[in-house]
Amino acid sequence: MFQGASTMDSVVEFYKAWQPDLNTLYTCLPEILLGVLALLALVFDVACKSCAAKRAARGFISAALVAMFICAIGGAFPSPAPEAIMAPGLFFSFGKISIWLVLFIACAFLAINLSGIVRSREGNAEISAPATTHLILIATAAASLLLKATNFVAFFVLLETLTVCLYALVGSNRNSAYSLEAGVKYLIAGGISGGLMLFGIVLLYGGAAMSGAPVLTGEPLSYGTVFVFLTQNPESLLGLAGAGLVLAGVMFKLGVFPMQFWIPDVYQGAPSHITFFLATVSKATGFFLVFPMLATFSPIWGKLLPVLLACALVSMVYANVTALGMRNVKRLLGLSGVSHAAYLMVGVLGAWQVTSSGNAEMAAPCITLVIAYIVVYILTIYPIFSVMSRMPQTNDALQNLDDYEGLSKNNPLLAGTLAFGLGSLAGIPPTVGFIAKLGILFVLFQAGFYGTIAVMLGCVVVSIYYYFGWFRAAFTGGENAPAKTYLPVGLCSRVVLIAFSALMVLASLGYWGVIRGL
Amino acid sequence: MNCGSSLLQVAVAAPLVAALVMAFSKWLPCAAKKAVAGVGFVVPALAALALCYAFPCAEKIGGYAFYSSCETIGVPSLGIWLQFGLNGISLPLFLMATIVGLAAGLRAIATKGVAQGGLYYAVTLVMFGGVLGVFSAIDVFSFYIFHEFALIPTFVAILLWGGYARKTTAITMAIYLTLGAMVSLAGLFALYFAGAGAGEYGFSFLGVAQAVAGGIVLDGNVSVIFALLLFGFGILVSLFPFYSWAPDTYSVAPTPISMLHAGVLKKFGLYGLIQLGALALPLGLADWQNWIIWLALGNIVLIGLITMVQKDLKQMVSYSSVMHMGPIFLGIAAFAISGGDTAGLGGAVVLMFAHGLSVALLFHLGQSVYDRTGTYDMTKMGGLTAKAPVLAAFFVAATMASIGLPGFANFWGELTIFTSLAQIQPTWLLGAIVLSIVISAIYGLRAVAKIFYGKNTGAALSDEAFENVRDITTAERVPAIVLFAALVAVGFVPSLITKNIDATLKADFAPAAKELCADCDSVPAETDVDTIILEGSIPVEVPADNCEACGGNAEQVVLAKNITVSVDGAVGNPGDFVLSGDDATLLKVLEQAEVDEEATFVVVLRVRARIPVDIEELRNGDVDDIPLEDGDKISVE
Repeated sequence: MFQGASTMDSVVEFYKAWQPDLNTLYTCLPEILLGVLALLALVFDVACKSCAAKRAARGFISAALVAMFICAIGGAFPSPAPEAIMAPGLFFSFGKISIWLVLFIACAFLAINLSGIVRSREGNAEISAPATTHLILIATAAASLLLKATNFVAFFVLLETLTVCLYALVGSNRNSAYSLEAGVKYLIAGGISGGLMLFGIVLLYGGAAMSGAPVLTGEPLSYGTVFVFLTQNPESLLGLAGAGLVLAGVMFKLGVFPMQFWIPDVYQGAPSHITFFLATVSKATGFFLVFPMLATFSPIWGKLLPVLLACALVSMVYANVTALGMRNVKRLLGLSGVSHAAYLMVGVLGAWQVTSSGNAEMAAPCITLVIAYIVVYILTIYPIFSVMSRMPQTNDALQNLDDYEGLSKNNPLLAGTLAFGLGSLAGIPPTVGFIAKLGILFVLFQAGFYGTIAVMLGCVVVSIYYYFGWFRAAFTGGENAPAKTYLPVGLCSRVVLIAFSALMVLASLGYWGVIRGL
Repeated sequence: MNCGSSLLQVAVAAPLVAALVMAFSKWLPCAAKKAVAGVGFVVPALAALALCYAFPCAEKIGGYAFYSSCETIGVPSLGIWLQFGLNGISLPLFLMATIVGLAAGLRAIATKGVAQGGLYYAVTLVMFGGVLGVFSAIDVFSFYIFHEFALIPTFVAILLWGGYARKTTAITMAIYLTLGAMVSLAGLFALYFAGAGAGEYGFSFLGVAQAVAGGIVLDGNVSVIFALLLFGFGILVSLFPFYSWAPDTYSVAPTPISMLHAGVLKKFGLYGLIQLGALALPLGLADWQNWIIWLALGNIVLIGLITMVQKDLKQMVSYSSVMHMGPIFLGIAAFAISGGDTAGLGGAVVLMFAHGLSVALLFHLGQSVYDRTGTYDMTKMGGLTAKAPVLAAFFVAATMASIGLPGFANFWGELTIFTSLAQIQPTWLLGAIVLSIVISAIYGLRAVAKIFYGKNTGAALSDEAFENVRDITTAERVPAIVLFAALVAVGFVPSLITKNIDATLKADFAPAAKELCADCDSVPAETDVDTIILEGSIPVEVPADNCEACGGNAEQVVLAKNITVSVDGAVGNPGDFVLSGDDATLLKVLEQAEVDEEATFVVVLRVRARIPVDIEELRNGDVDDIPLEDGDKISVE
């Protein structure tokens, strides 16, 4: 009747299992530091009254992020052991560097800096600086920790932490109806996706329990358990449905069909720095999550491949064709982001196909090439956002291609930066965007996805129209219009923009070095 | 790294460095900008002349002189890294690029009243650097990247300094050319993955040539790969019916850009087709030869007819440049049609050289006409000879060159191509192709008549304004003389460039020719005509009765060297045998291998043949002894 002892035992066991040991905490050191910084941002807001003190506080946080970035690149932070994550070989950490951590810290830093520019625009004063900083840092920590998760509980909790932060950030411009609308839309869409994903996790758990796999004695929701379950029951309908729903949640973050519907609206409404954050950290999280998910679901890879490939192809064609008629640049960038997510997706699928076909020699280079693509994508869109947030409109949700007319006459630096960025997005040599696309094509050829190559090349041709259309707008017109007042570009920003433009060309050389390093 | 390869690198780098200096044009006085740009245009031309002079004696690797490579840029383990060099085919094209670039650069510098002058020079210089890179890079990816490198300058130049409807034209051109670039990229990738880049020199022209010479068998569908290359490059070269971007682009673009693009950059695709398509995929070329004939016929006849009705001078020159791509494509196809005779390829290279110069000269002179009359509409002009006799003389000469009159380089190219096409069936096709000369003559001479002869119509220039027209200035004369001199020099002494082309074609294309010859049943082309006319300056050294691969007199070649054959089956001494001279026959090998008593039957396996022989009959002399070839496998049963 009363089985106190055994229940107590199991509760104790449960708590013991959840007692984080020092080792685990040490592995999470960068995320903990990010969390501390996030709290400091709030503390500084209360403690610092004077303008100078606030500036000092902002400077401290920026400096801390730069320091963390340097530590991450230098490999000072612990990198989780490969077997802890279960993705074979843990491909996305180069030696001691967790590539995603480096990327995320850099993006958080850039987004926080962009927020300063965006806030200086009339009409955006409502955006709270400390709250923005705080939420961006929390979201970054959650995204980074998410990639170290090894079970679906942590996976879900951290993904929701990231998403909840983003709900608030997207709607953070309370003066703008577009921002609020985008916030609500993102909330609903994110809720749907989160619900689907939870359902998928439950199906996997239930399936594993029903199959009576002995592995349940350990961590019932770890990736490993699901992997064993799927290995033993590759025909299980529950497993297939669960895997599909979990992947749908991941694809929501990445922005791939059928979970791409929220992107144009949310990208348009969100303040520019948040759009940048969505397009980089949020998208990259989705991208990096695909690897552990594919590893977990690898027993049913044969069934997943056609579905995922079809989704990627549909979003590729959809995004490029829809973007043709777009005049609003933020919607345009959103759709361009969908197409790049699709290129990434086919790249991942190709790389995984090479891996699972047993071509061990080519597997690591292929996965590196795909990861290099997202690094290049992030490198490319920062200057574009930087230019966008300096345009003269008061409401940046309403920025049109026509507003760019005369940019090259009025501000050659911004026009030049935009040209390099757009060239790289379109994939025109000598920018690094071209070499990155070449890498994806290499992977697809290696995997033998010839039809996909044809579709992708066709989409690249189509995309020329809108990228070069933007380019054209920036480089013509403005003869008769009155000179516009762009937000000032400080000396530091000038150097950064020129550096990014130069990097867009020089990174092509560095790109080779990274591949050769393998 | 020797002096020559450094010079080659300097030639490619000079325009790019000069373009970089233009980034500071805000702080430079106008004269300094012009001087820097001028250096960027002149240095490559001088370097190219020096390289031409040094080429015959230079140290060569697989036919490539001035070889240099930079393994930092690229991944050697994947067969991709930056390599520079020139062989007999790329040398004349590189020289042509520098000459046209020099002329276009002088034209750009002499142009008055350009808005944003520094950017204008920078764009032209970057494009110039790109085209030089195309013809001097020998690894395929750099070759491709240098071509794409020139796309953005073209786009910007049309957008900022173009003529009527420049915004639409710029986008159309960008999309069309990207389409071509993407299709050819797929083809290059397919070729790469088929195993063409596995050798010591990676995926470069040199590496592919060595792989072909080494008898590599491509692991892929040769026909599909060639089709991707043909249509991808075809779009970039304005092969019919993918030409519609070209006339608009050339007539809208500022003249220096038109000169560089129509004259040089467009040859990228043809160069790629020769150096990769015909070299590595001769059987693919054979599969598509009829397509090429018919599409090139479209270029020649249909576009020719369109050219004839043009009233706008610049449009006419643009269309004519599309039309003249037809014979060059035919020259490439002739390689397969004639069953491995490389004369057609040589003719194509000569014609590429000549056409680049002549079309650039026409664009240059057309701009001069426009500067005097204020219009490109030929119906509104007339009688300019009276006021500008030197301009008229140059224009007539340029027209004659583009028609292909003897004395100009174009003549040798067209003549060689047409003679090497002698085997084409049905015969009337050849007649239709030769029509190109007649069509060029009609529109060319008609344009000359309208612009320079008769009386001033008064539509463009009032009589008073007509009286004030001046002859061409020195600034216009120098580029014209440079282009004209090159055309005439090669026109009178074709061996200046054909010797090198000849040597390279003979060395590199022998395996491809062999493959073609083995593939088709036809006898190689009757080529004596060329030999007589050109005195050996064009490659025609494959007489019909001595073709190595047709098996006609195969022994002569085979006996000259040691061969290795393998024997297995019912023999006492199986394994590989190295044979030489008279021993290379089946009977001798069977003696050496100690055939078992019971064996009755032997099969000789070759790449393209399986020869079954009864041993009894062989010993009795009832059947002829079989001459063996290298690599034969002999199975005794």
